[in-house]
Amino acid sequence: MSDIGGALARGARKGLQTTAILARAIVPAYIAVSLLARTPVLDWIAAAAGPLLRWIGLPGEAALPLILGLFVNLYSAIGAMASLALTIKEATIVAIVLSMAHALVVETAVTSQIGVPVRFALAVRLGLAVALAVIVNAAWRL
Amino acid sequence: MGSWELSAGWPVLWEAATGALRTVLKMAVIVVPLMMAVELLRTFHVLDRLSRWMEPGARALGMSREAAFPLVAGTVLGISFGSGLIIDSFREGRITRRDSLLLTAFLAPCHAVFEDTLLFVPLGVNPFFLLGLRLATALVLTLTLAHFWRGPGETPAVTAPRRVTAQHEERDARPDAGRHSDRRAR
Repeated sequence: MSDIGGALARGARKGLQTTAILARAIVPAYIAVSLLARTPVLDWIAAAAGPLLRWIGLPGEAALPLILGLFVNLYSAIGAMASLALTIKEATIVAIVLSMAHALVVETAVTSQIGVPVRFALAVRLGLAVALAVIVNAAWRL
Repeated sequence: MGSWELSAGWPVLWEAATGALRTVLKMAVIVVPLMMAVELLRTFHVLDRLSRWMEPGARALGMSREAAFPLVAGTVLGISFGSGLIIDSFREGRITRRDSLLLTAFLAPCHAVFEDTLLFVPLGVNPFFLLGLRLATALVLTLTLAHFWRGPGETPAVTAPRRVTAQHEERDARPDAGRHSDRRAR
């Protein structure tokens, strides 16, 4: 029984520590994006990314969570997503892309430690991300 | 340029800060119970047991038996969190080069399945859809690569038994032992 109690206490402590780590990523991303939304910068980014993202059924603004997720981590991307008003379909597509490919810098470094070429890991992850996003976007309309 | 003014500076900042904190709280509600569950898994060595059940699964995916443990660790804990375990099994030579390539192919679309899936729930994403899609992608990708990558993927140092036939036998003979004992345990 004390095993269970100890495990739960340790888990709660780790959960709070993780939440603190998440907060350090989510809070700045959320605030930055919601302030950015008040400036024309978000519109510029959206206009630039719009034609590309339309292929996977996303509005141009979705470029922000995608960039944050791919290069930084999933948590900052979630902060950015929460501050944008995405529809469920859009949120799902962003989630799919980011599930396949996120925190590429850190995670690619890990897999290269087990002898997997960086190019292979990147090709698999980005290829899957785009392919699945295109498929889900097309299938959602049906 | 008309509509861009930060005239209402404080209310805007307040709104952003409270929105950010609400998002963090939603994540805490998911992450804290999740970590408690992971600690329980660790305490009772569930990962070891789970990976023993998954050995036939690893074989069916074209990997060696030894790859089952890093496979389970990566799927449950994630690549960064499970990286210690994954890198260890590679360094200690327990898994082959072919194993680690197939392992990466599987884990790329499908890792940290609980955490990464649940975190999107507050944003309106259906967790079963997301998880199902990730798992299906991982299975299709790994089986495809295992099929086409028989010879060249393996380093010369590794003795390569023909896995083609073994693969099919294993898949048919995949014991449901895990599922049964799980049911009994309840």
